[in-house]
Amino acid sequence: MREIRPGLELLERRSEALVELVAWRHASMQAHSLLGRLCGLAPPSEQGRCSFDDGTVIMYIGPGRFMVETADAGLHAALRLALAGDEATVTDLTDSRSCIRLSGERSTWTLRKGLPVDLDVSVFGPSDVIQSSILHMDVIARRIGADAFDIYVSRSYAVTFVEWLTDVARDCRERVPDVPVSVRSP
Amino acid sequence: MSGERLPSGGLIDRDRTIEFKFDGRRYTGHGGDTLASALIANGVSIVGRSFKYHRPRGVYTAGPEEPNALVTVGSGAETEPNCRATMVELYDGLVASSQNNWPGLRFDLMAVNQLAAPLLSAGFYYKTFMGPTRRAWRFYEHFIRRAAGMGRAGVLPDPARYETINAFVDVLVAGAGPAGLLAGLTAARSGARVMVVDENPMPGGSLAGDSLRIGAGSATAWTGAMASALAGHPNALLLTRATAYGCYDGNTVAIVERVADHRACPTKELPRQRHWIVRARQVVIATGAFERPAVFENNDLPGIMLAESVRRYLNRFAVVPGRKIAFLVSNDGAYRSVADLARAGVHVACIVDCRRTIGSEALRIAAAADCELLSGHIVRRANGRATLRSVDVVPIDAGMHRGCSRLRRISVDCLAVSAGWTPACQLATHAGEKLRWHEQMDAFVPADDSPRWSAAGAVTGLMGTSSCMRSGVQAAQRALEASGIEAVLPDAPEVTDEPVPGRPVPMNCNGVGRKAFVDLQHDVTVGDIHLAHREGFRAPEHLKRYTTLGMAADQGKTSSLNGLRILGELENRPMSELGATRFRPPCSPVALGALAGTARGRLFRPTRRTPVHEWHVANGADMVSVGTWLRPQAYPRPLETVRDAGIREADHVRRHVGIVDVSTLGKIEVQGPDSTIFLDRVYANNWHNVAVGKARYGLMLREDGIVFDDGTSWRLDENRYLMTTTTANAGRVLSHLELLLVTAWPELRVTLTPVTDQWCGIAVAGPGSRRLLSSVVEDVDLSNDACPVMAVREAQIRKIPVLVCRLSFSGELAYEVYVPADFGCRVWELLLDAGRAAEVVPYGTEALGILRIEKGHVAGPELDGRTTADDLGFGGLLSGRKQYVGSAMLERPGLTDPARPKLVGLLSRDGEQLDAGSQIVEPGDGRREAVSLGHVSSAAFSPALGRHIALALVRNGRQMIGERLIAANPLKRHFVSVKVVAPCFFDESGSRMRA
Repeated sequence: MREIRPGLELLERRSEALVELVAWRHASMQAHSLLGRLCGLAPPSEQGRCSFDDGTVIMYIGPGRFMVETADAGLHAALRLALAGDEATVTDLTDSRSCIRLSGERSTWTLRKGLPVDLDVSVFGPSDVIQSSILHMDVIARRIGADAFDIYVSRSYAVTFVEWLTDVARDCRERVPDVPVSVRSP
Repeated sequence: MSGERLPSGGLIDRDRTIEFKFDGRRYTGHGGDTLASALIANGVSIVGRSFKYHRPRGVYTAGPEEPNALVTVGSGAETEPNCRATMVELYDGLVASSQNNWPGLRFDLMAVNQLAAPLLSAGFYYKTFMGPTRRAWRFYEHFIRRAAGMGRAGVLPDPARYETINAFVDVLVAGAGPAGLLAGLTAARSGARVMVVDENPMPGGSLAGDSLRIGAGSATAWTGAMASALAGHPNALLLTRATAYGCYDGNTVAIVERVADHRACPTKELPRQRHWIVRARQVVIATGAFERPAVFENNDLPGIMLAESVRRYLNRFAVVPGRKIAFLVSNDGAYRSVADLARAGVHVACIVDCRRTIGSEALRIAAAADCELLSGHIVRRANGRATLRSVDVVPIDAGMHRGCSRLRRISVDCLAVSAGWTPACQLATHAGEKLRWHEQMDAFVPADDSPRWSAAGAVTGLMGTSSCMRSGVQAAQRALEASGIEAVLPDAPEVTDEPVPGRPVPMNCNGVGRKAFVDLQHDVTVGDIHLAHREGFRAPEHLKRYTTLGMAADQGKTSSLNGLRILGELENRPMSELGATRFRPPCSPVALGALAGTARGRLFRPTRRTPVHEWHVANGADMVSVGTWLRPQAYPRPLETVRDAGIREADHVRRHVGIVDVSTLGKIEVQGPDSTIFLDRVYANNWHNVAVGKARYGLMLREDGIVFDDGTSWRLDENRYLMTTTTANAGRVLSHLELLLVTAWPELRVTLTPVTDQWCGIAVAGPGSRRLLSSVVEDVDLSNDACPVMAVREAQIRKIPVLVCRLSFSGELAYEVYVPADFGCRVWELLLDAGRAAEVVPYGTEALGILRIEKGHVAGPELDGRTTADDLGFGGLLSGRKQYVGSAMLERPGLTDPARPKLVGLLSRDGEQLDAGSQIVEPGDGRREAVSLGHVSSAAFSPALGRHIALALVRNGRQMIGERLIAANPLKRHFVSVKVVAPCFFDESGSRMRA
């Protein structure tokens, strides 16, 4: 019997650490290489792209601006120590964003209802990331597969964002799991 | 008109009978019918009353250009007025009603307006209803608006759901007629991403149901094959019931798709309408053309219809609109309708053709149809009271002279008219293109293709099916070339010969009677245009505005060109010189719900919730919207009002201790080696001498010297500050600072990162705050010496890292604790647990407001975009040793005028409550004409003072201290005697804060 899959699945994903790094123009190369060394992962060289491995994603989200999501809770402190403000500044944003993962064959269709971005896989493919807005809420959208996206939204907007998603996804046989309560340890 | 359904033919589903109601009466139709076709099939001839004169009107067209048959569809909350019956698809249970009549459609009392027609000419309300007083118009307006108009919008909330969707394509084709279908398929097969949209339920445009043969099959079969090919193509999307209503900058085309309007029982999953915002690299405009009406006396009588529409009703719906049909034509194209009627066995009484020379194919059709052909004739007048009964025909050389001996009266119940074709060039003009005059078509067409779009088909002036198809392929080729895609061209299908309209002969409309309508929807007559011309409105745009020609919901689709032609004849100017008016979007009516999309109800604007939101709600907080945030206003006890709860909470804070959620304050992390220089430039007070581990209150001005925002910034280390802003201005401050960094001071090495959501802010205030906080904070001494006012300390609460800053908005001993947001609620609960013995209470914005008003601290109502630092008592803060944003403008006379309103306090003298917004006036001035000296900005009942107090901005306020004035609220008829005092009402020395 053929498995019936929902058109869209939503999942709130918790990250151990989310760090923003902004490099000065003159020192972007040093910051770039330092970031790669501390993360053990080469940062993307092109804006709007990301690099990732099992535990870390480095998103190049703006001129000289990287967002790093990692399982290494000590990354923020390590970067601050290593950079000392001469090449870049580092900000801990771990608690500031909620990440909602959309997956399923209707994920692109659903996202198009709010995201004014060309989501054709030939234009916005896996490893692509963009800053935009949905219903006046700033978001970072990252494609993680042909039919899957991670959307980072400010935590104060997260409930409204999920309300919007569940409203526009009525045509998707959605399955919305209970949003897990934060269990991060101090 | 006595329409009927033929026993066979059409594209309708005769096996499916649909019941519907019109004006309370039950009728039946078939699957595939429109409301218009079903009404005609049921013999309904009058479907509405006209806008101004309340004349009876019938269905005039078969498409979106319909000016007459506007109906209200649905009932209750689902009522939608002004729907074109020609575009309403029939479904089981549809309820429709006519508009603009009372008590009924057949007998409308407001038809008395026709008797007053001489008073109701163009611009009558500018001339007739101006006196006797200046305010008299307001009296007349009520009656004029009731007498004129269309449907009435419902007053209940629309229960339907709407949504918006974005799309990006290489080629967008507007119109799925023969040209559009071929353009779309050519582009798709060449590898482009293509979207083809058409507002009709089925693609094919003029071909749907047509008797033409294309290739080896019928036009319908060819259309079906093309639509299937498009729908099955992975690169293409064919969207029917979708109206491209506007073309905007950057080739952004707005489209409304009617997803569920045609369904009897739409599912909850589907929206009623979907608003597509399509960004296209190239647009192919294949929107076709509208047939043009003829203008003669009584040309609006029910029974008069466009000739092509008669044909469409016949071929698509097997409906004939009359039993005695005559034609009034000026081109060969209308003979296609004659041929199809004859083929269906419907007799045509006669053809009145204003031309003397008629094409051979048209002559053959007339002969084959065995109908009388009156060439070189025109219809001078239509006759009938409620519906058409006869037409008066005269030879064209007899002109319009009354009493012409050669007048002939022909008895008919339907007159099919065709005075030529008008290209539907609305989208092209939206895109900013000018129109050019096309002599052959006798109409305006889009000027040459632009780099962003191409036109194809009838909109370019081509009227033959095969030529339209060729132009569709060519337009696709141009669009593909412009997109850098190599075109794969299809073979052009063969099309059987058909009479094409050719160049129409203009019908002379001047001199016809008063009731010769040019704009049927707005009741604009030939006489109105003559009047406007006589009164000097001689440019097309002026004529349009004075007469409202083409300004109705149909946007002049059938009327604009006839109006311009009459003006051209009056002006004796060629049409190419006269020019056309500009069309503006939307070219078809759009429901407001479709524009709003999902942004309604709880999603009207996004709501922000603090990390402690769930706790507030669970513990009985009365939540209030503050900008986009939801904040607890107070925590009322049973039977307690929010106001009383706020007073109780404020009193408790003054006596014991309270905690309040201040997470909504804007927070920006300012980092970099030049961050101190940056703060020194954006704040009006000094920052270079703030030590690490200290905070300072900062005042930010706009470039014009007016106070912009205030807040504290905390120096966390040498090159790192945590800036706080007001809740309301957080976004604006960030934008302002980013703009300055990028444009004014790009050399500064400073970065700004918004961290409002990173931190949960909790203010702990009251005499017991130190003891409470000390009981939970680890490793930090909070004593007065170790942690003085404005000290910032990194600490931990149960291993949760926090920032503690000793600062006070309430005037009490107080601290703000910033906790990583994930742990905000946990720390909130820890504080409440730890403070149970000290009777700690949570307090909301009501108490927060009371406490700050008692201390004279300013907030949003005082930072209203009009006050200076000196107005608010902050003049001493302004640095005189540096330049900062706004400093250059501080000395301008307007800001230094000593009589400017200054912040003062007000004490209610007689125990009366003060209202924010009340005007301050001198006592004894008389309450009606008193001169305002200022206004109350914030008001509260002070539990500390036991009386009503307020902050106010009063002219020359500091010199008024001690004076007695009146706080007047005329709207509530509330006048309170007040005493002017200094703005700080409580603990002026600040000893409690420094305790």
